[in-house]
Amino acid sequence: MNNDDSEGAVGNPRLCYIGQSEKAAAYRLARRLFDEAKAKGIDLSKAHVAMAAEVPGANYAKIRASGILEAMKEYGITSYEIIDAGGLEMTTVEARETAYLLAHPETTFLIGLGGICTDRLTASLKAAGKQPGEIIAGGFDTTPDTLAGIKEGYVTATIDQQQYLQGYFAVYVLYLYNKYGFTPNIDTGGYLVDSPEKIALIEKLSPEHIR
Amino acid sequence: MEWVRNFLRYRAANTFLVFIGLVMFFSLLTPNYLFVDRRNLAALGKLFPDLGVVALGVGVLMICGEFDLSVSSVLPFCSYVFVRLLYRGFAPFWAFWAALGVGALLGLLNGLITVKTKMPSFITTLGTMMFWRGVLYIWSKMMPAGIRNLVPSGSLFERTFAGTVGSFFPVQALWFALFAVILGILLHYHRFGNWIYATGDNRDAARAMGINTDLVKTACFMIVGVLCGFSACMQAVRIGSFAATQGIGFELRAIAACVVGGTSLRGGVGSMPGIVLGALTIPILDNGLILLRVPVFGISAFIGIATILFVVLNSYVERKTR
Amino acid sequence: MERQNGEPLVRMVNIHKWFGRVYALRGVDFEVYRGETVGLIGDNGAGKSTLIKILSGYHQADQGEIYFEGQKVRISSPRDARKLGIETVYQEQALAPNLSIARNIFMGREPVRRWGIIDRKVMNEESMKALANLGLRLRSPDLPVVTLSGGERQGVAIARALHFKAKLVILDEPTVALSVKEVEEVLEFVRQLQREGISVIFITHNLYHAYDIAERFVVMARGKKMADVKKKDTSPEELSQLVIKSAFAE
Repeated sequence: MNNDDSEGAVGNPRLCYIGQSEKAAAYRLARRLFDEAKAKGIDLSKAHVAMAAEVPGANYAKIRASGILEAMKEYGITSYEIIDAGGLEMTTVEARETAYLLAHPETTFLIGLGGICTDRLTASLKAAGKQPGEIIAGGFDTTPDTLAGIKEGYVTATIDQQQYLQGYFAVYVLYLYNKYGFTPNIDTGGYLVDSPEKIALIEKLSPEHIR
Repeated sequence: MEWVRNFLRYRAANTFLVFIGLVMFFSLLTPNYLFVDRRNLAALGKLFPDLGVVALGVGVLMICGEFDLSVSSVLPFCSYVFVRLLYRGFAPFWAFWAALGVGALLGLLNGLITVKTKMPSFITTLGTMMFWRGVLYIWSKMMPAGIRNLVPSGSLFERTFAGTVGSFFPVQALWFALFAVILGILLHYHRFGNWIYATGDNRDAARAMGINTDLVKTACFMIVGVLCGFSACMQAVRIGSFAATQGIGFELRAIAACVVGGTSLRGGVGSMPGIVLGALTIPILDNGLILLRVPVFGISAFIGIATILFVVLNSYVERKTR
Repeated sequence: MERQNGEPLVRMVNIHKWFGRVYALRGVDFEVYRGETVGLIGDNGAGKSTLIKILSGYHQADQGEIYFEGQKVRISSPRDARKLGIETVYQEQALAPNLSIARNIFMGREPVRRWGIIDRKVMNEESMKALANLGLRLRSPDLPVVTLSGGERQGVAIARALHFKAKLVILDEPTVALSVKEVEEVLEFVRQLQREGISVIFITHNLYHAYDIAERFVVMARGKKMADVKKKDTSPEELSQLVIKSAFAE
């Protein structure tokens, strides 16, 4: 569960996979961000996408990036760069994202491929002197500063992996497997968080460890 | 030319020269002089002390002849203590002191284990690093825990650890400077500093001269622990949450910073100005390269090469001036 | 013993020491009188260093007693020994090579002002004075010890003992790995100690180095004292015969 093999069932003799389809979730997130830009009248053919990854070579980052690249193709965006954010340590991530924003004023979209890169988006945008919405930012997971960033308008959208479902279905499927031998693949989906109302829902359920 | 020789004999001198060169290089060559841009300097100034403050302590400990790999676990552990206490309703002020206390305690433990078992601290603190990280993961379940509501932006406590002076100068850099001055006085002007050097340089001689080397070492471990606690709170306040990944990788990067600053891996050699420059050099290198629009994929390679060059340069110049 | 300046400064009685199953000292009696220089000689592993390390607080005897100025004492750490006025100069181990001369001389006993801040002026001046007393002129008290010659390093260590008013200075193989000129330098330092009326134990396995300056010789072999002779009753040839004979005797 949670992290699938990049080739799905072909690459890994697993019984079944329960978790979000990383590629689909990333694709959905990217479309949401690109639509936002379109609505603002930004010329997408000249847009530049920066993706920050804590561990650039890791599977989650590669698959999520591929989902974003697919959406880019649809929208006619060609320019992109993957940033090595320097690991899981927040300060390093923030330093790299900030420096990148300063050095690359052509950046239109800044996407965190993982939870920590996404958490640091808001702080980096502020440090680089950007206004809310000046750069269209988004990413994954619902850490405290990511949600704060959405409320303040610095972050447009983030994907909630709905881990509760992953745990819930895992037990459920194991029961069914033991009893009947079922091995279903379950996509727990990626819940797109892009409005204060959705944040309110998450913030209410989060202390109960449901979201 | 006497003063030139005297200057070069000073161990931090090479680091200082390269540091000045690096700053000039980045100042002049980054597009639009971005390196000296207000925004960039402010970002650097508030971010580098997270590791920098820890590196100051690690440097003192290295001069004393020991290592502490556990900083990368002690730091998030202190951060979690801080956040838990806030959740329990304690005022930030008290939670902060408790985090420092826990840092000191974990440092004391590192010191006692190292001194009593007579094992290399590289091993003992590797053990405590893994142990405390494990305990932290179990205790915190690795859930991030936000503290924005408990330490509101603009509150006195928030401004003390994550604010700016005169709407621009990041307060974190001042904290770093304060600790550097205190530890510098301790190291170079206080008798305890002489004991630290003596212990790291020749432990038998120090013992024969009546210095309690075990006490000196344990005290240095505690200094590192307290600084980890401080850095933990400072970082937690800035990022507005506890994160289980706080401090990851700090153990080796702190050592790298100290080595770049001319601190010997064998103990007895190093200086506070050197450690300060080392703690500044690596973040500046990281930052400057990105501003030069070097591809950020694999930037670590440059930093690795630079670290090695620094160490080679240090030992080369040292041999020349001896 | 004829030469009795009253009681001995140090008297060690029936000292035994085991290291695990190794019986290193087998009931040794040893004494040093005030102002006297004793050459402690013997082959490697004879027990010289062990005996001296018990006296300087590095090891503790398993059996036996130590008297200092007539009082029975327990020396359980180097600090205890130094409180009594016993300073030890180990071969290469006495100094921290990367620290300055002044910081070495005052290591562990730094002159301080308020709050433990080192009084550098006092430290530097006293260091130069202590070295000058030994006839040693060095360029600056701030030089790291590693830049000095072997003889000069011994000088720094001896100056330290002199400065802190030692009553007994133990020199553990001070001439090992030194050039002829440097050995002469070190011997001159020892003569200065003698002129100051300080007792000296000079440990060496090169008895020719000790012969010039010592007044009495104690020969050790395999954990026992084999001989205790005055210089006027012996000759270098006789002494070296003694060392060799006792090393092979059963």
